[in-house]
Amino acid sequence: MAEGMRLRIPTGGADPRIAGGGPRWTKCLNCDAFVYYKRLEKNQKVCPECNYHFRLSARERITFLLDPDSFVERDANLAPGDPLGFVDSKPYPARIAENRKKSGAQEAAIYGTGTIGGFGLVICALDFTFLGGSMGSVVGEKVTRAAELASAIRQPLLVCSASGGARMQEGTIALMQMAKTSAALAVLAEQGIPYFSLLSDPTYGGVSASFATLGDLIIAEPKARIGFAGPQVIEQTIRQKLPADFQTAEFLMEKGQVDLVVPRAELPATLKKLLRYHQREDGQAGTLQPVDAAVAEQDAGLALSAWESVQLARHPDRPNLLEYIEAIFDDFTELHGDRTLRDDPAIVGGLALLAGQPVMVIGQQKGRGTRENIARNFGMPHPEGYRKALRLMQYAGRVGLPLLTFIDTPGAYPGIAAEERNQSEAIARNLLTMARLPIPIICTVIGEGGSGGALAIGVGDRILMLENAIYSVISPEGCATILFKDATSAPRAAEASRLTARELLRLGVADTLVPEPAGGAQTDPETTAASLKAALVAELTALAPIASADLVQTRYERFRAFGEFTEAAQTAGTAA
Amino acid sequence: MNTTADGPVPSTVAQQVEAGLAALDVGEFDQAITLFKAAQHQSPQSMTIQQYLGEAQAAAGDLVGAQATLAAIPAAQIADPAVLVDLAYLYQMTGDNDRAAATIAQAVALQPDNLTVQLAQARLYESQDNDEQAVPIYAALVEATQLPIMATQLARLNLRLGKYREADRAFQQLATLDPDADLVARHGRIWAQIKRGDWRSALQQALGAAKADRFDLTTALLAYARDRLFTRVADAEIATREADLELRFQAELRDQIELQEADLLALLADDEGGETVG
Repeated sequence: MAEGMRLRIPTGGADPRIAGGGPRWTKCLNCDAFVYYKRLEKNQKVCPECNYHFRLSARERITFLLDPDSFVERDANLAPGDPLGFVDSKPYPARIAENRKKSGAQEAAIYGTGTIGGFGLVICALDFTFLGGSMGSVVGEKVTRAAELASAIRQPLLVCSASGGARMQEGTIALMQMAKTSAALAVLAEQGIPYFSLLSDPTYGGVSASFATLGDLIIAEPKARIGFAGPQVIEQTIRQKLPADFQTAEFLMEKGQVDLVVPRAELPATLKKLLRYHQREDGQAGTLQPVDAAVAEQDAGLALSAWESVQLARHPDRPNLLEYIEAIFDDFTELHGDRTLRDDPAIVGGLALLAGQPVMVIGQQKGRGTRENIARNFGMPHPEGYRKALRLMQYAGRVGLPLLTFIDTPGAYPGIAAEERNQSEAIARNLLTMARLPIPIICTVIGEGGSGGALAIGVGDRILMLENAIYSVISPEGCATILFKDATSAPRAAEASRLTARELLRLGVADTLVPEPAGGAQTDPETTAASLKAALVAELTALAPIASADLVQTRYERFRAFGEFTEAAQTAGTAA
Repeated sequence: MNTTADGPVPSTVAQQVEAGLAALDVGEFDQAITLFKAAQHQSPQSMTIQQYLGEAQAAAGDLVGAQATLAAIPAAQIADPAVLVDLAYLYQMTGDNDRAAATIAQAVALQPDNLTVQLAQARLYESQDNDEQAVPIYAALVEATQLPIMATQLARLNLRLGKYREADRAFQQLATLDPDADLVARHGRIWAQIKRGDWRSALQQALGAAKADRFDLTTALLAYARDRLFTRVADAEIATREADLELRFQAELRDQIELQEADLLALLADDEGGETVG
């Protein structure tokens, strides 16, 4: 191996070559550590010293993600034209040829079919090493064909992006690829095929402003830089220094733009989990497995006073949403963000398995203890929380996953920022959307059901209430202050408001009362969760066979029927 | 009987080495270590097996173990400078800078014309913040290899040392070697010229760069030059803006190096025909 490390000196301007040996060490660009190259490769090109994610070629990306030997490439030989006859320091065709030679890739994207953990999918990966992963005709065409293939074979689509944006050398034709790829994804969405977008460093410009950010679920690698305009442009425009983490994956997750930030080593397992929600390993859709647990009751036990129920519904030890999720569901994957402003921690949503059946779970999350309660805003969502819920509901509706919502909120957050961002519209939009979602919807009040903020995730085919949960148009204290002019009359107002589960069962607002142990859910959370799980499985089993159109019509009729009034008979022919 | 994840360890040294190399190739580093240790047990005098064992340990992340294995090979018996490079980097990674420098010097002495070893030495000096020693090596590598990354590194280190005239020249070489790096090279030249007070050249250079700059760093450099020369701006403000500009330029340079590093790795990986067992 004595000659194995010798750089051959180029002659006559030819490319320098290496006479064997291969790279042994590389230097991490982030921490400056020397990393043994084989170790780096084994570690999927993530620095073992500082976790810096080196950039990958498209082929490396596919190798790291897919099951071995499962990738079947399609349309490998697409080559770009030269629509503008573009010349910068060299003609565009010469630049393409040079990049092909340098990178070993034909173009800046490859696509085909493969499997992850045995689940089939269509995958397209962009290659930043080829002309900065820029999107011209071929990249646009491959992304589009990948979407069309996913649509034709009804398998999920995964696009892995790494790109500086549209390819300048193809001018407006490159720009049009943004519209072309987005149109193909619109068709895919209409057909209810899930689309996952994986963002890696860097994803900018025309790629981020088209298919990269249109994923039903968006996953980013740690520290990946993602945005429309580069930070330099922004700094120059606004003449302000940007935060150090600006446009990083973590920053965008906080701002509600990505669902998950996942280290490279965990991506195959995460994607397998996500694929599993949409397809069983035998290719069939998931089905409910019978649950052996306490049977939910229509009405049971001795009634407490309304005020006692209020106190139990607000009990600081009462199980909260995430605790029920942990007890009731398998494989919960929390999804984040409204894609616009931020991730509201007062609303939790994500995919999960209920007795083997994939479902979408959404609910309000209170904290356990003061610190977490402050972080969760005491379960009072902002508009962006409801918009996160909306996004997830719409996704469930598109791909046909049943929706289970869990209500536990004093109400929507009453604040200046919430009003500025149109809290009313956010709630109203959810009511409108839930009314027409073509999927089974089961809403469960697990604690407090505070007014419109509760109803915003409470329009469903079946409404369940835990025995000591409450649901009202206003808090008893608020009602007492306004109507009785005395806040200490809250117990009286609670009785008058008919807000207990039993009263609401009688009023037809709730369909099913889920029993709690004596003294409330907090005395035996496990039993309460088991009862709730049994009730959910029973309700979902009953709803599953019903056709979507019938579900929507019945839901319409259900809410259409609410109201109590008299109407005097009109006299025909009354003169004006 | 010893076993690996793939079954029992083969009985002959040749089979063990062959299987170990195969395991090393597919990333089964622990298995490779087991096989090389078995071979070493039967053939304790073989320096080649010891080298392979050290390589497998380094690949597995056992830097201290790899260092001990390679350091146990008598220096006089090392004919392959790659072993000394490995050992030098291992010393560096475990915090022994002096031994690292001494060992890489042995590697260079072993094959003074080997450019890859020279590059390894430059990188080692650089990571020890010994830029003065790294610069002449990179300068020689630019001439010998004509690789753009060598010019970028040379320019970067010259900037770091405050040798602005040399940095300017290295950026000029970069633009010649890689027309695609023209913009970053122009930015580098502007920066170097501003730092040494050659405003005329900097502005001339900026005029050319402005046409190609999508991200307006050129405009920022020009605005800075204008305010520095013709506007009454407080010293503190100038210092802040200069620091910001430097950050932006360093980010651009880092992106350039990342791209070029990928090219270099691809180049190094291109043909691996030189490796032999034995």
